[in-house]
Amino acid sequence: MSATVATGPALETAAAGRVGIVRRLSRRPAAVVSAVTIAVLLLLSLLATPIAGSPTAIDTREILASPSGAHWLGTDDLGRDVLARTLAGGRLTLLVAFGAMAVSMAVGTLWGFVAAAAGRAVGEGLMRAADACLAIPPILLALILVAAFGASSWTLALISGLLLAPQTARIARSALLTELRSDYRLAARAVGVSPLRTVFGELLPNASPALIAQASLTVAWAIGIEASLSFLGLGVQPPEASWGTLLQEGYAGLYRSVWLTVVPGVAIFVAILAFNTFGSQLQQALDPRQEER
Amino acid sequence: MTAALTVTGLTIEVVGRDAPLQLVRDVSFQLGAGERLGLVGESGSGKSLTALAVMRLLQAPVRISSGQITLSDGTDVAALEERELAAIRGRRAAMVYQDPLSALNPVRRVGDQIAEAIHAHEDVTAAVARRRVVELLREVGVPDPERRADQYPHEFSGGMRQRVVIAMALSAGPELLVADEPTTALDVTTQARILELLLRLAEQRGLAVILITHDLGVAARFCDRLQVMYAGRLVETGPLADLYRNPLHPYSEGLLASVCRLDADPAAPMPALAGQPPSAGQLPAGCSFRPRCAYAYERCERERPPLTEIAGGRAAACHLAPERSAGTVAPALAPTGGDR
Amino acid sequence: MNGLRGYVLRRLGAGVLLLALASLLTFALLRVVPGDPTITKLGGARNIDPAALAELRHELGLDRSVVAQYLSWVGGLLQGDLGQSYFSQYAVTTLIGQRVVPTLELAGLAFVVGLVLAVPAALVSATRPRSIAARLVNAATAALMAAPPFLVGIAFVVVLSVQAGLLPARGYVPFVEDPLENLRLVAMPALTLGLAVAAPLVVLLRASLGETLRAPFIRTATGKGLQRRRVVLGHALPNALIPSLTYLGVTVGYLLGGVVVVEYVFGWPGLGSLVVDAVLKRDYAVLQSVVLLAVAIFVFVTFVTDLLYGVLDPRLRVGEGQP
Repeated sequence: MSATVATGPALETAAAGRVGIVRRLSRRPAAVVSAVTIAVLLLLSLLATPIAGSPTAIDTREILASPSGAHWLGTDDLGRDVLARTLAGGRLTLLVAFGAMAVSMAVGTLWGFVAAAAGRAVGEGLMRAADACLAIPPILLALILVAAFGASSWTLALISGLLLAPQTARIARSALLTELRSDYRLAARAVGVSPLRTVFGELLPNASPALIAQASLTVAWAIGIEASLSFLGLGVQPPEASWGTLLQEGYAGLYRSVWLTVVPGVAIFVAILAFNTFGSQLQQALDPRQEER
Repeated sequence: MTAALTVTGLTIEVVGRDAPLQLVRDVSFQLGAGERLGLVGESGSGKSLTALAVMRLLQAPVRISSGQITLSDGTDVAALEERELAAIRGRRAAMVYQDPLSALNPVRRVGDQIAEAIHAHEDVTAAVARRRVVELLREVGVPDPERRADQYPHEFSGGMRQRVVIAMALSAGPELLVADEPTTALDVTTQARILELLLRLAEQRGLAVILITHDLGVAARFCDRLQVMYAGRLVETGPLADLYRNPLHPYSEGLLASVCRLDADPAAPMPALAGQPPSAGQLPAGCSFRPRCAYAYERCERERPPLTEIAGGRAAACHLAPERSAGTVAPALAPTGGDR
Repeated sequence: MNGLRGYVLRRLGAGVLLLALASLLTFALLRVVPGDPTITKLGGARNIDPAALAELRHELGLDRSVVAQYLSWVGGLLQGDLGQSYFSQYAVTTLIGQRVVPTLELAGLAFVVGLVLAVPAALVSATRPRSIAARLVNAATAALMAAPPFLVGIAFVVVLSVQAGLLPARGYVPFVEDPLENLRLVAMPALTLGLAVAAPLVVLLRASLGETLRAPFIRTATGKGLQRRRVVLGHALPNALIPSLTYLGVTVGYLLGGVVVVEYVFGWPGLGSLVVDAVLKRDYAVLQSVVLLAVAIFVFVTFVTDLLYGVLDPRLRVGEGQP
């Protein structure tokens, strides 16, 4: 009972802090625009088929057609609707990216939290390991992992997630170390709350804005990795289609139709920019020194 | 006698998200040729900002909002464009900084840094500049100057570094030297030597000097005249001896009382000014010093005392200054009365 | 004296250790997973003659224990023999030798382009942050940080090759055969990769310059009467570049990563396309050696950076008298 008494105010301030973050974010135009873009992208992916119809339906009368009322973004070389293909491709790309984010957050947060909570030697060792991983050019590491585990959507999510885990580990560690120095943890410990409950009950919620920012950046990077590897033919495998494979197909027929390259290219760019901007805006809003300017 | 420097109505503000905040308000003073003026006050009083403003070295968001800073030839430094300033800085007025280590570029040889100041103002060959550098280093007392000129700042001791900074300040032959706490970062014995050096150079070269310090002991050894600043304003000015003997402003009195004297009773508590100076955004109504003043009365709350000439080149911003000058007010802060 | 030699040796030791770890990691990753690279060569998992498979495995040394394979690879490595490609009849050293020149040309040019673009851009952005030019630089940097290099490359191809018809979209001619055509072909990939390198450099340099410009010694330089230009170029820039050296290794990492995709976009026959091929065919012999080469380059650059630090920053100069 005394635990609730001691931690009550701390939780209140934590919640208040999060409300403050939302308000500060809403004052930043770039943050609002990127958040809206992300929402639209997610919505479009979820409603891909109702909006644009089947991505595999073939309209033989319209091959490589220009945008029209029937096909808003035209058709490809087999007469498939480009909008439908792009939305479906986006769904897979975002699925892979969010999968990668989940892997990265799970592995990285655990990595960082253990490094923060464990003794000096273990913590240092874990962080040195993260540094070493970051030293190897990620695309090379990705290529080795693809060679080892094979290419598919699932392995792609796993590989990108593992690739991005060390960065998350760093952020998670520093976020947690900041929280560990706060008073309410001492208060919680003083009244005998178990360490595990402290971590999940308070530290995690308090460190969460920093982790959400990192998650958003991770999604952006993962979209880039998915697109790069699929473009090389080392990611998503046909007949599955993602933005990366669409781009690869479009690029192969570039001189017949620029359109098929431009659409997935722009989609990839917008998505990465949105997740990137949202993540860094959130990071800046969290940093009071940046907020001053 | 033409003044080496005339400052009129200098006001410095910091521009933030809200309304600009005035850090220095309406400061006016004059510095005669070859005169050594001490600018004293607690940190945050605006004395360093005033000094930087004279060199136009304030960095955004801090800036001069109004006032004139006139040199002996009539140039108003405050009105110059940024690129016109290069001809003034170093050549007409030069500066010595508080921390000589951070004031020097860590990755360039000290000789090159001094030579650069010479080249900035005179079209001379590298060999001539080099000879001048060595002479300057010798003049400021750096031993073995030929060799030392080729070393980097980190290879010098604190006192030697400050000598290098002084040599750099003198390199283009300025008539005005602004020394911003030049001895604060140094240990005590070095402080005395640097102060002696500055005194000797000022006399030999006939330099007008503004010495910014919070250390009244340093000011006493160096200056002809003192100016006391408080919360962004000048509160008292006068010849050194007069001001020391009979401070007209209660704040000056408090500063003097807090100087540790060797002849004081070591068992007595150190007197100190009670309270903190107000921050620029929250100045009290009336006299800024009122909340800390032992003499304050109701007029001080209503009316801010202007800086008023009292007698013999003395001026103070205190309603009681005329009476204090006449000696009709008993000091409230005896050296032993350190109430906190 | 002793200090300097000790320092160099320590750095060298750390580099060799990292290289050894990387070789171990690469090798282990490629061997832990079930599946046999030789099967691909023999045309899929079905209808394989077991005798032919065994013979091939023996030929390639794949029937030996993993430890023996690793030791033989490293042993060969030390003698300059990287072994045999699993698929082509060439030695790995031959394959790398054919591909290394185009990659060096592309990466070297990209590095120069990156520096030439990044330094002035960062200067503008840091010294006149409110100017239109600075805003343009910041927007371009943010966009380039978001766009993966191959997207930028594709955009170039779409605009300059397909729409404007100015430059060839893909291909390679050795410089010695046709210098002009070589330069026409390398222009777009080098610019693409250069932009990819420049963006993070601008971010880094901008921050470093911003910090340096607030340093007291900059005020000193201004106070002695130097023109703003001299202060920025003579004092702020050199001092801001020194800490950025740390990221030279990271920049080279960017280059090595970017080169893989950019070569693929422009059909540039370098190490990048070699490595993509090797992954597609699971040609581990080629893959592990190229990756190790990349890590070796990275380690070497880091090593040189550390030494360069000592030269450029007198405070770190080893063996000299400290106060």
